[in-house]
Amino acid sequence: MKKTKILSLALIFVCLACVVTFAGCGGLSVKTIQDSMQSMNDKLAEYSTILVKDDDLHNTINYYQISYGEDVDGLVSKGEENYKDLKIYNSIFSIAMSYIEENHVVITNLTDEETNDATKAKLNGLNESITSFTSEIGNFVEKRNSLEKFFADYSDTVGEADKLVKLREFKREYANFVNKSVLVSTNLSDAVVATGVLDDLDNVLLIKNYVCNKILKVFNEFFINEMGDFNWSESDNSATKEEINTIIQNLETQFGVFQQIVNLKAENLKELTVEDLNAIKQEANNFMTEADNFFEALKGLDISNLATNYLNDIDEYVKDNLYAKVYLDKVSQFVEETLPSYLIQFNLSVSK
Amino acid sequence: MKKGIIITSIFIVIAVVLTIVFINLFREKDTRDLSNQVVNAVQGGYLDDEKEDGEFQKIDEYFAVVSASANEYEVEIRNVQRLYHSYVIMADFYNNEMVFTEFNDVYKENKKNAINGLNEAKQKAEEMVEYIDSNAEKISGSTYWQARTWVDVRDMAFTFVDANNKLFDALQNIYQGCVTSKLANNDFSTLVLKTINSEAKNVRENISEEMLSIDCVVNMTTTYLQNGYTKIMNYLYDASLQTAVADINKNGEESSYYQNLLNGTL
Repeated sequence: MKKTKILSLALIFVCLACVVTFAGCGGLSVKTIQDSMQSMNDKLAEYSTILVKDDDLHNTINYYQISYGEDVDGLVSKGEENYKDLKIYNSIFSIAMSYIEENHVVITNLTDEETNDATKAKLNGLNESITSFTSEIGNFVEKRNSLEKFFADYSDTVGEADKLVKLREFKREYANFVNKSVLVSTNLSDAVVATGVLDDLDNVLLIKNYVCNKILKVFNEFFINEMGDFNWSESDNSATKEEINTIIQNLETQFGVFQQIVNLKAENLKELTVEDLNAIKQEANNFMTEADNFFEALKGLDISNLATNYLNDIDEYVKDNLYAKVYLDKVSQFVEETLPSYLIQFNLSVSK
Repeated sequence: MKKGIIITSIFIVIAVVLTIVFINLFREKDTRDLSNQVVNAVQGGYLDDEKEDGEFQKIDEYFAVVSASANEYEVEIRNVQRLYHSYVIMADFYNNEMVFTEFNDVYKENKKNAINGLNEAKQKAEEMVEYIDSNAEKISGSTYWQARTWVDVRDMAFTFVDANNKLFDALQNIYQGCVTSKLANNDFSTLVLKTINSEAKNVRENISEEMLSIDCVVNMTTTYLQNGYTKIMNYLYDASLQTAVADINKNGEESSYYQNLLNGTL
């Protein structure tokens, strides 16, 4: 009896192990992705008065135009510190959504028979990110409405500090929302690559947009994830702060250059061969490998920690974060040298 | 009893297998050990040229003083001094990338040499500083005594150079084999770093002679490895530089571009 119990338990564990092991191996059907995309589009349509889409501005940074209420919109337009950041959030969201809406057909037009193992694995990740983003849409709109109401009701009665607290709460939600849209576009891009459809493609516009979608992460990581959650402008002045301000200004300039490339339409692009486009994709991969070091350096530098707990004193920070100066140098090098060089090269490669 | 032994043996085998698996999972898989030592040398250690009263400033000042006094040794002192300046630039360059290297066989093969070279160089720097501090009177005294101190210091200085050459040889191998970014690690960076190391060894082998090799080391480190090492980072976009590098790799010193490489004008 005891032997039987032990053997039964062992068999249950083995079965569980098999289930767990093989659970990840099955891929999603294309139908599931189609349904998820439809749910996402339905949700976006539900809030189309807030998430306003201008189809004439597809593949530009103004594809979606989110307003935050008259009071906040006014501050954004004036370029008010902390408020003006919302423009970049909107732009990044627009670029991500443009990519999703233009390229999802590559996946949703597949048949299950056409999906190989590599594609199936990517479809899982893509579906998760679509579902996560879809569930976030309503929450974001709610927070956006709450921001509008707060400013409409209390703008004249509360102090600047309280307004900034409310703005920062909203920016955290906005960051989450934009990050999820960028994750969908990134996962979609990975799934498209896995299908092999880009391998022999001579469609310059599609390749240009594919590369722009990759580069988008650079701006997303810095402006939204690194700088978004605290009041940088009010942090302590120091030589390090000046250095980081220079980085921010340079990155804003590069975002402008990037926007111009994003906005390029088909008629502004060169006619290129498959070999040319493969070389462009390889250059993008090389750039993104260096960008991975930039992301690691950003994370390691942790500017909000430097500003909040070390008062922007890098010499003090280094005592607890040995690589802080190395990370700062890498971030500076990437923004001031590597990124501009690459964008110039990319622009030269694709535009007439 | 027999059943008990069998079951216990099975559990022991499972435990051994799991232990081996977990040891392999959690053993060193990153390059922090070496990069920590490099960063400590560059920030506050013997390769920090900005630290007030640090090893570099004391030793460099000593070299400046005795090279003016010790006429018969002036060339070798200046050679060591200029190599030291170049080591600082090289260390800064490697320090910027060491934390982003990947752990692989090349790293494993070269890590020990790098750390040994670093520790030996560090020790020699400390010995020189100790000597300088203990003989401050002589060093600030007559030119005769200044020159005499070099006779005591020169072996330490030469071993210091040997150790640094060993360090940078190993770091160059690690850089080439473990830095994943092709923007930072490419045919041009490999050529530059190998050539600098080769010229530095040439200086050491002829340490008492006036040589162009030391100028080459200085030119190449200041031009190619400083200020964001722009030429290296833009190499993949620079067709003419690629042509020059390919030519040098094919023809070596016979290449028409070789002198430009050494002059820092490639």
